[in-house]
Amino acid sequence: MVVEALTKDFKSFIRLDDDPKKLLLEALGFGIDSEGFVIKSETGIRERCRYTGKQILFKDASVLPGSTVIINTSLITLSQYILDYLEE
Amino acid sequence: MADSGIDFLPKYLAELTRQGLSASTEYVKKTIVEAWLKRQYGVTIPVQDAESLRKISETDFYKLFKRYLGGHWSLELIKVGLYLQQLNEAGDTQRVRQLIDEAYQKRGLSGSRIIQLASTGVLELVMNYLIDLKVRKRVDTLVLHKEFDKILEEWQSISIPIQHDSKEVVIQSEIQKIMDRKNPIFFVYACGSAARNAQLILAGLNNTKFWQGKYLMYSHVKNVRRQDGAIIEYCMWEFEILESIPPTVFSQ
Repeated sequence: MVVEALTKDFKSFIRLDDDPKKLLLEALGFGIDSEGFVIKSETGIRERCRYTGKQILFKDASVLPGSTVIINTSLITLSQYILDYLEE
Repeated sequence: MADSGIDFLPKYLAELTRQGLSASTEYVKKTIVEAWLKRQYGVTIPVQDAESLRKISETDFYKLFKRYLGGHWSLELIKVGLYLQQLNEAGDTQRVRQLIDEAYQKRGLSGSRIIQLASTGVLELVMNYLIDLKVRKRVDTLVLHKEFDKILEEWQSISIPIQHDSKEVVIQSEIQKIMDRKNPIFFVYACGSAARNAQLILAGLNNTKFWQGKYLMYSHVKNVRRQDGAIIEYCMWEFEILESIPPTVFSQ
């Protein structure tokens, strides 16, 4: 189940190194397949970005505040996310 | 959970990594998820970019634009465009090209044009023009949407860029072509070192009454401090056809 963000308590964006980021994804129910794509641990199905509709490489993945929403990272997807969840 | 401070989660994840632990145990998993759902963090790669976009979303200028153009499809690209202008990455053609392609995939030609306008430094001035329309003419939101869409669609044919070495005779000819088509509106713009040249050319043409009786000219000027501290001048002149301006009691 996707947990949507409610972000009134949002403080900041942070960068995690690969291993801590893997741990976070693992705890949130995601894994990484042999080709480096983010998958749902339960099903093994590759996760898709809600903004680009494309599969998400681990190296390109952003995990959005307080949610289990994973997106392909670009200025435009980040901007879309901020518009949807962080703006008043 | 012993610690719930802002730094807890990154520190906890780093410590687990150091100890070679995974999130397979229920306690560890629960602790991570609890901290994550406090909604204090977003994990991303370009932290600086994400934070800059968030700061732009909190500026009065963006909020005012959003209030007047509320619900317009462009808002996600507007922030990116304003950020691009702050960085003044017009010279970083590869990054601009990537953003133009992505904006095109997402929103078609009009989407990519927002990034193009930003890369030439004129996006904020076009936004100013729309805000000004709302303030000056109390234009309805839907009309503003249409106006913005039309500007984006037709930008190539309704705008004239002036470079630092542009000649008055060439600009005069370009303006004449647009006036002959009786475009209801068109724009002339310049930035940086070209701004002074543009001001001189338009002042010269204005002295010859080149557009008198046909168009009214309004100017929009903006000085932007780049992230490297340099101040860049952006100028845009809006030409509005006189026929579209309603007469007043005394002018009838």
